[in-house]
Amino acid sequence: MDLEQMKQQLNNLNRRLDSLEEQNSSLINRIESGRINSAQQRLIKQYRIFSCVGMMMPLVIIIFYKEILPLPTRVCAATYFLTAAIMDAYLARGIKSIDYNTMGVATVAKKAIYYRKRHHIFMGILIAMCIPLIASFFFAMGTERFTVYGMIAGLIIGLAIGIKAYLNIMKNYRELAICD
Amino acid sequence: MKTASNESENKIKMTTDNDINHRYRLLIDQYGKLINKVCYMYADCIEDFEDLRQETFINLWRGMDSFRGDAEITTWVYRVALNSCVSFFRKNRKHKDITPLDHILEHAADDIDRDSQINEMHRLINRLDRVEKALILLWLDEYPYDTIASILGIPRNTVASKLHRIKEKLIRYSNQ
Repeated sequence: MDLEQMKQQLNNLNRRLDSLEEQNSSLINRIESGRINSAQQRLIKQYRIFSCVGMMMPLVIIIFYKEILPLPTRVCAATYFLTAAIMDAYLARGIKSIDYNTMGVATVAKKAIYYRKRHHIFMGILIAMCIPLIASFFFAMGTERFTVYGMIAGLIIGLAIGIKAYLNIMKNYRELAICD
Repeated sequence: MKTASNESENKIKMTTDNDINHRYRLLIDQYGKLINKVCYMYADCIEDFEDLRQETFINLWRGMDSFRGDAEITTWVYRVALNSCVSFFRKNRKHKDITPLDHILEHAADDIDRDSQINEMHRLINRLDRVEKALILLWLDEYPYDTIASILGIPRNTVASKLHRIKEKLIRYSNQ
């Protein structure tokens, strides 16, 4: 197929998509009523919520777990949550900076891929940071039988989530690498 | 080559109407086809197409307040549609939840051959990266190099050199 044929087919596509205009009305109604948000808005909200929770967790751990956990474990946990909170705040700020109305397509593509990659890298770092944290919890509370059962259950669930996240990263990796 | 006369008319219509909902519906009525076409070219299945279309419509709605008619409307709509598409990352869907894209095309008895040609065009263009896809779509739509450069946010000379490389790639893909 040569380029002239492609031009013709693009015009043909234009005509063939005519029927979709009837479906616009219900979508427009939902948008005007504010019932749906864009992926960008949802992502920013998600990162902000996680960032806020992450900021609060060190306080919760230091205040409410003072008698239960030793100081090194509390410091380890507080560091973990603070790191996660900072990462989420960074990603929220980055995604918010993408302006679809005024930025060039090349810039938007570059930023989208950059923050998507950062998301995956941060997840990898946090998963790695989990290991000493879980170990410190185990050493701190390993004498309590039910606590150990709970930690093992959490470890299994965490591993399952981590493996799923890793497979997701690998699935997206090729596309992200090509776009560099 | 796209002319400015129709776009100037539209610019006036957009800026004198204070009812944002009315302006938005007018915008979608006039440019819905363009949005559908761009989203179709970036989608791999109907589900992706619907997501991209929704994203574009929402981003245009959010941009209505800030758009004051200081740029051509078609340029703005094309930019928002392309930006919505290039920043889209596909959801992980099970195979059974995916519907082939060409199912949404209107069918007439003599259109079966045209379907295969549209599919072929889609297949070739789909092999390009996100920004290359945007560039070739703008060129196939006969926009001048200056407009393409403005929408993509790259220098005019870069448009020419990238376009040359993209054309070579498409010819190579077509011969494979």
